[in-house]
Amino acid sequence: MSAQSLRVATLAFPDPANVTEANHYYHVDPALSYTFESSGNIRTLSTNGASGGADITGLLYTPELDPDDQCFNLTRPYVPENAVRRVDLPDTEYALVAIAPWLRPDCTLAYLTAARNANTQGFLFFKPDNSSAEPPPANEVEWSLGDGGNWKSANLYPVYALDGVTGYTLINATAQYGGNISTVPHAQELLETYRVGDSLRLVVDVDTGSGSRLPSLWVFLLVVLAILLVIIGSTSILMHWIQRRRRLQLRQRVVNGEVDLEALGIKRLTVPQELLNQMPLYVYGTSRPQESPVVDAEKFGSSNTPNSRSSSPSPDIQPTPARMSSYRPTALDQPTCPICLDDFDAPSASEAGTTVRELPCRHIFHPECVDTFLRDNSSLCPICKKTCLPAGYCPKNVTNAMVRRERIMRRNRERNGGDQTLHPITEAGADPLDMDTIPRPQPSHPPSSLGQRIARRITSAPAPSTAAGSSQQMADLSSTPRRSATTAGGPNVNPPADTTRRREWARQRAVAMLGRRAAPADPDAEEAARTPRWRKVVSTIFPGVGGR
Amino acid sequence: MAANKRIMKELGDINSQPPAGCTINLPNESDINNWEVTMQGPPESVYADGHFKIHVSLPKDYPFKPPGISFKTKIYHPNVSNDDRGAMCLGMLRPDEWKPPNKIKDVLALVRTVLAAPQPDDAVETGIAEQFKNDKAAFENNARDWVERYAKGA
Repeated sequence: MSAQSLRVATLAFPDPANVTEANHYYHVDPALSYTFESSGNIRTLSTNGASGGADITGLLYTPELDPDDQCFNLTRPYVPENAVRRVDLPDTEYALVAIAPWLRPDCTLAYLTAARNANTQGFLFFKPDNSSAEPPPANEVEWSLGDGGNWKSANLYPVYALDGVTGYTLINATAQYGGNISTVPHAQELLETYRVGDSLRLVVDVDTGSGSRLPSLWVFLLVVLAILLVIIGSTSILMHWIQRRRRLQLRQRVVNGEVDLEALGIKRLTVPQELLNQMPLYVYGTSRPQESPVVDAEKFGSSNTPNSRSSSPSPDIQPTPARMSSYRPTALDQPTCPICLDDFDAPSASEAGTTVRELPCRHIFHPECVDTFLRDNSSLCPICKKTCLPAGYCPKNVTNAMVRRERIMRRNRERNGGDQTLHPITEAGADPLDMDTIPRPQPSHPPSSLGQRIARRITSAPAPSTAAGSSQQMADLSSTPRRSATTAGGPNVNPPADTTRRREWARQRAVAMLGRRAAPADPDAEEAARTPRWRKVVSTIFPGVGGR
Repeated sequence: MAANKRIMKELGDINSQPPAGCTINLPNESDINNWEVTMQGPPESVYADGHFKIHVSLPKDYPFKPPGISFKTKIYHPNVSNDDRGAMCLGMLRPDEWKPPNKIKDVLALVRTVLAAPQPDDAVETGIAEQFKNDKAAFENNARDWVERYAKGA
C-alpha cells in the first residue's frame, strides 16, 4: 500500500461542445505528449483508502483554496497561475489526484479539506525546496500537522510526498497542459489527430506495489483460524458419526445377546420402572399355586409378559430335567421380605394379606422394598443375583464410555486369541482361566487404570446367532474342520443358538472369566470421577479419542 | 424410611439374641447407623482373651449397600489393616458381592470366623500373612503380645 513509483501520461478529452457520448477520452501518443516516470522518490504519508494491489489513478489537479485564506497568497508563488484546477477538468466525475505544495500545516490542511469535495483518489504533496532527494520518512516531525495524525483518517484518500523537483515538474506540467490543445507542445502534430476544442490533461498513476497483495497479518490469522475451525469441526462431526455408529452396533449386539454389559463390568444396569411394572404383583400366598411347575431359567429373562405365566401353569411349558432350574422357590418358602426383614402376611379373615412383587427368578419381595433397589441400585435379584432384565435388554443410553470399554475388551480378546475371531467358540469352555495367559504389563502391581483392569477381565461374546447356528448345522451335516474345533472344546463350548440361551451363556462365561474379582460398583461413575475435566471436554468434542 | 426400619429390626433381633461373643452398643443413641460392637476373641484362638471394639457403619441406603467394618482395637491379623482405619476385607462386604438379605448378625459371625481362621491368601497385611504362612509360632507370639497390649483394656 505504500507507493513504489509514479507515472504520468497525457489524455485527450473531446470538446464537450461537440461530443455526444460522455466519458470518452483517448490516450495521446507518448511521443507527442507529456510523460513522466519516477520511481523511488515518493513517500507514503497516509495509506487511508488505498487498497492493496490497486493503483491510485486520476487526473492531476491542484485544489482551489479560499481566496480569503492567507494560505491562498502564501502558496501562490509555488503554484503556477494556470495550474489545472477542478474547473479545467471535464465535468464528468473522473477520478482525480491532487497535487499541491506542503508549506505550513494549516495550508496543508486547507488543501486536504479542499480536495475532499472532489472525487479525489489521492494527494501528492511536495516541499518547495528544489531538492531531488527522497522526502523524509512519514514519521518525521516535518510531516506532522499538529493534530496527532487525525488528518490521515479524516481524509479518505492516500497522501504521498514527492521530492521538490518532481513536484515542481509535475505541477508545471499541469499548467502546460491546462488550456486547450493549441497551447501545448507539438500542437501542430496533435491537431492532425484532435480537434481544436479538445483538451489534453495529465493523468497520474501511483503504483502501490504488488507486495501489498499479501493479506495483512490479521486477515491471515483469521483465515488460519477459520481453516482450523473447519478442520476441527469436520473431524468432530466425523467422530461423532463414527461413535454413533459404534453405539448403535453395540446396542445391536447387546440386543442380540452377544454382549452382557453387566457381567463384563461395562455398565451397571438398573431396571426401569416400566419393566418393574411388568413383574407380577400378587397377594402373598394366594394366586401362586404352591406346587406350580418351574419355568426354566431361560424363560425368566425373556418373558416380557410375566403375567401370562403367573396366571396358571400353562400346558405348553414342558419342563424337561435338563432345562429345569435347580432352585424351585414357591411363594410360601419365603416367609419374610429379605430387604426389610418383615414377615409376609397371608390373607385371612381380617387382613388383606401382603402384596408381593415376584421377580423373574421367582423370589418375592415387598414391592416398595425391591422396586427402589432394582430401580436405583442393581438389576440383579438381591437374593440369587440373577438378572431381572429381559433378554436383549439394552439401556436407553448407550454411552461412548460403554462403547470404549467394550472395544477395549474385544480388542484385548482378539490380541490374545489370535484365531479366536475365527473360532470364537473353541476357547470358551476349554480354558476358562485364559485370562492368566494375557500378558500383563505390570504383573506385580495392581492394575492402575480402568482400562487395564478391564483388560484383565477378558471375555468374549459368542459368535452372532446366525453364524453360531449355521456353523453348528454345518458341523452336523458335514465333517468340516470347524467341527473338530468345536467338539474339541468340550460339551459346553457351543454358544447356544437362540438369543436367551446365548445370553445366559455369555453371562456365565463372563462370570467364569472374571472369577470373584471385584467389579467396580459403577464403571461409569468410577470413570467420571477419575477423568480430568480437560479430558472430558476433549472427548465431548472428539468422542472416541482417549480410549486407552 | 425402609433403611431405618430394617436397622431397627436388626438391632432388636441382635439385642434379644446376641451373636456369640458380641455385645452391641450405640455410641450415640439417636444415630442408629453407627454401631459399636465389642467382640470377644474366639475361644481356642490366639485372640481368645481379647475384647475387640469394632465399629459398624451402616450406609444410608442399607441394606442395598454393604455396611463398613473397622476394628477400633489394634489386632495382629493378616486380614485387618494395621492402621487407624482397622479395615477388614471381607468378600461378603464388597459392593458387588453384597446381598441385601445379609444381616449384620451374619457379618459379625463371619468376622468372628475370620478371626478364628485367618485367610492369608486374601490378606490386607501381606507381611503378617507371610509370617502366618511361614512361621506360625512367631505369628502367634506376636498376636498374643498385641492382645496383651491392646485388647485387654475393655
